[in-house]
Amino acid sequence: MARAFLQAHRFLLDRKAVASVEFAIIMSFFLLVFIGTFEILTLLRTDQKMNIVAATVAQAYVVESPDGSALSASIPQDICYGAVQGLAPYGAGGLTVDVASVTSVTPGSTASYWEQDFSGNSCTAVTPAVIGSTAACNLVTSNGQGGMLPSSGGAVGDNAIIVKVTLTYPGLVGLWLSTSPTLTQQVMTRWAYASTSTALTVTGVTPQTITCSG
Amino acid sequence: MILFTVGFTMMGVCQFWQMTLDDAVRGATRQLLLSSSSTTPETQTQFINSVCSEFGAVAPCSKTNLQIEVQTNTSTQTFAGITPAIVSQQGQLSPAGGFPTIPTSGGPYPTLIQVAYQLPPWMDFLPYLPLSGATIPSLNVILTGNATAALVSNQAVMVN
Repeated sequence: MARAFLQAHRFLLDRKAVASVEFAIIMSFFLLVFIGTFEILTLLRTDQKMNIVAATVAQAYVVESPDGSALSASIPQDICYGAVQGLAPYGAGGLTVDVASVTSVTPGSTASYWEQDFSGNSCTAVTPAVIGSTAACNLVTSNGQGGMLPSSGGAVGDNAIIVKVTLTYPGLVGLWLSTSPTLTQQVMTRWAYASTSTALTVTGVTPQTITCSG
Repeated sequence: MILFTVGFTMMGVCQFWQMTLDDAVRGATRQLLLSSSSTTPETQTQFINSVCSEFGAVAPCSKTNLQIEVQTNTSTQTFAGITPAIVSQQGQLSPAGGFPTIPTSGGPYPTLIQVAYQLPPWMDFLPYLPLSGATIPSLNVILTGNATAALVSNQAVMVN
């Protein structure tokens, strides 16, 4: 016991290689700060990129079907491929693209709703619906922040497209943290086809009529 | 310690450049979208000028260090039918220079815009510090975030 104490005491008083020890302590601290700064900056950049991707996906839906006909079944998935290409150089392994369309059937009462969700680099269709009819309705009516389908003064065919893009951030933090941060961006827009009664539809996707009073 | 200070500074500057480039490319793409339906569609030079008008305020920007590849799929009209250009470890976009005339009717046409900005040597020397006689280009990830010597900004849009 006394010997161990003596050794510890000698070690504490030993002035050899002090600079090396100090360097090792400071270096590890700086390395941690450096990696942390890099991660935070990359996270912010990825979030900004996600915002652009969500906007471009929404823009793609806006201009699709300029003649008002139903979108072919493959178009939503192809727009998701566009999102994957636009997200580069970031990988789209943890990407999900959710698109919902709400079109007024009876203003202030019922609406037609459909949703399609895709995931990953290959844009695999996923179920169940991520946004959901209730949330979609709330988002586009005065219940939420949208107000795109007003409860009074609205017209049949009023439309809102909701695009929600989510990415599980694959950065360095994932190496030692079991949960990675999830970045989400949401954009709302309106189908460009100028009609008072036609709803944006996708071949093979049956729209639901939902109560959406606003 | 000096290396750390230099590293911090360069990393911050590069991240700022990347964010500005993303924003500049978004603005230029918007111009491209608007001009595509007009009688005088945008040219490559106009596109580069548009990017450089914003990005050039924070970094040296010209035709020589800005590589652009624009692809429009007019045949199958799908994004899946577009093969994105590759950026080499040295920061070369390949293929590069494509800037098709997008038809004014029959759309919408999926269009992929890829911009690669090669870092100037005075900014990019850090990853090439000799380490045991070798170079470590993969360290570029600290500056550009993508293991190449170029800042990369992609935009996939549907041109009406």
